[in-house]
Amino acid sequence: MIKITLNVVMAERNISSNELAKLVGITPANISILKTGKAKAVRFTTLEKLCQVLDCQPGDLIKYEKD
Amino acid sequence: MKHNYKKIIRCLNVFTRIILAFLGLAFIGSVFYVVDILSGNIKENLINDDSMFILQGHTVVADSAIRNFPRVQYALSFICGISLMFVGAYIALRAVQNILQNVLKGQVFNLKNAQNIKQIVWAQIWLVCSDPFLFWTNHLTETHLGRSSNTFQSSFIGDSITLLVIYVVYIAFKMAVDLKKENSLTI
Repeated sequence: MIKITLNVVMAERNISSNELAKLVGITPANISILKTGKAKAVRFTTLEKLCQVLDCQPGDLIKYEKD
Repeated sequence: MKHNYKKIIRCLNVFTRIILAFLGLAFIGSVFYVVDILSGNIKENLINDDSMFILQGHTVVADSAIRNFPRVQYALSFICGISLMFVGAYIALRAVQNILQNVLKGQVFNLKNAQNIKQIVWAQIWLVCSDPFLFWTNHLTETHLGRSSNTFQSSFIGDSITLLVIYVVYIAFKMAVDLKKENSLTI
């Protein structure tokens, strides 16, 4: 399964959900959906903005784990 | 939502309420009709009724046929069929009203509306169940009095097809709700 590790990167960068939401241009509710793993899909544009703001690679935000 | 749609939906809502009111009146009328049949007034209600077709060779009905007409069987079958039909129609109209109100609020593809469509499927099942009873009432008037009502003739096949269509719409709507849910969880 695909696991979102956004909260780990956010903690490393010491950035809050509201702050990240403002910088990325999405709602804090959507950041929460991403962090809790409820998201069904992530757009490339959102992923690109997240990587840009958090200065990381897509692989830092998304991990694959065997079931 | 476009202003035109709102107008149409409001009109449909009013129309549904009018049909509901007529449905109540029609049910009361049906009860009186059954009581009249049971009291023996067959001539006026079945033989000379304008809505009944006269079968070939049955212009005149013998007094013995009127006397031997199974009134209780007819009344029971009629009341069972009509009750099932009215319950089905009431459930369907209430569900349509709920859908229209939800659409007016801008809530179209949600679980509530899917459940309302499911209610319409159930309502149609009630209608299909009413058909054999109503068919039997028609069969009794045909065999005993030579009168047939086009209202109760072979509606079973038509109602079954409608049930199938509504069920397909329900499944498609549920799939649309799932798609919308998935879409709203795409960040």
